[in-house]
Amino acid sequence: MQSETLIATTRRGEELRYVTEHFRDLQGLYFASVWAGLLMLVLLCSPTRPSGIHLLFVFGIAALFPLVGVPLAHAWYKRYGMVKGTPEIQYPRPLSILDTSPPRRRYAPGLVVVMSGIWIVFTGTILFHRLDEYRAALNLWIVLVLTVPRCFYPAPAIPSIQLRRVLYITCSAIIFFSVLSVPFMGPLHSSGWLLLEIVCATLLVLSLYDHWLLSHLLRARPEAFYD
Amino acid sequence: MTKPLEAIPEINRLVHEPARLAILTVLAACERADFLFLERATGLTRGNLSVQLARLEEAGLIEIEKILERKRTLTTASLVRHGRQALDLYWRNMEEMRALAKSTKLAKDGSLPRGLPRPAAVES
Repeated sequence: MQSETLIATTRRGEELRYVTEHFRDLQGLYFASVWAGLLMLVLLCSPTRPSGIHLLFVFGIAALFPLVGVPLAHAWYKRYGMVKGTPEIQYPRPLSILDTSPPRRRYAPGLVVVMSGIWIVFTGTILFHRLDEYRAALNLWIVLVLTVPRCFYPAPAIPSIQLRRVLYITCSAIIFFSVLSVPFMGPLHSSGWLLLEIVCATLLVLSLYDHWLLSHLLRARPEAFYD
Repeated sequence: MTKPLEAIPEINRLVHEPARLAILTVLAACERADFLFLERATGLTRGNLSVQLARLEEAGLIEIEKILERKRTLTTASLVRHGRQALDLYWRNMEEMRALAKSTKLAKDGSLPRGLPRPAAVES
């Protein structure tokens, strides 16, 4: 029993370490607003293929999501406090509680840079390639930059955290095979739009799950927990 | 054959206290964290958190910095080198203890020998 308690203590330590190291990474509302905007853009463009003023109007509506969503997300996450010195997009690091070495920054391109890059590539493809959904679908590879590292994060044996990894692995596989299948689609086939819709919706769900996970891990615990 | 009690590593009681251990674990995973995040992550009340932070600072394990940000005082804490070493040693000793308990099958009847500190409380 005592041995089990020791193991459980280690697990609790791993959970605390995970939520601290992934504090910024789990702030899913930032990306949720981006994916919601892109999903709206794709949904509005797919049936009618607007052009000229209409296209700019659609683009403006879609841009409202991140423009409004990102400041709202920023205000929301302020309630959780501040953590410094954790990379925004992390490299895999052993989760063992025995490793207490300070976190290093090897790969931290920055949340804003990544978000802006994805937004520019997606919307730029749609705007400047005359709604060429095939080119847009081909550019889906860029979102793998976000999803693939998260598949390899060492994660403690907590179901909600393990589920996150499973979701990211599934999503990365879907995107990877989607990109591979694009060249085989017929030029007049509407599945290019459907592909974009599925990927944006999947990424939106993943971001919302990240947000839920952060709230779940930082939920208020009773003080008696430490007695 | 069981190992003698002398083989059981000594546990740093300052680190072993569950609330302080939680604080140190959070701080070990980052460069610096503010009071609000520590409160959220550990689930401690403000009063208790302040007391535990003060004790850790007195022991020279952490460093507390207060900065003025938009007319608000932001309290941040970070683990100093000595604190990181103490935490590292603590986890290694705990791991040794666990291995020892396993090898001597002390865990089988659910008891550890006298003199061992009670392990940190965990969620049921």
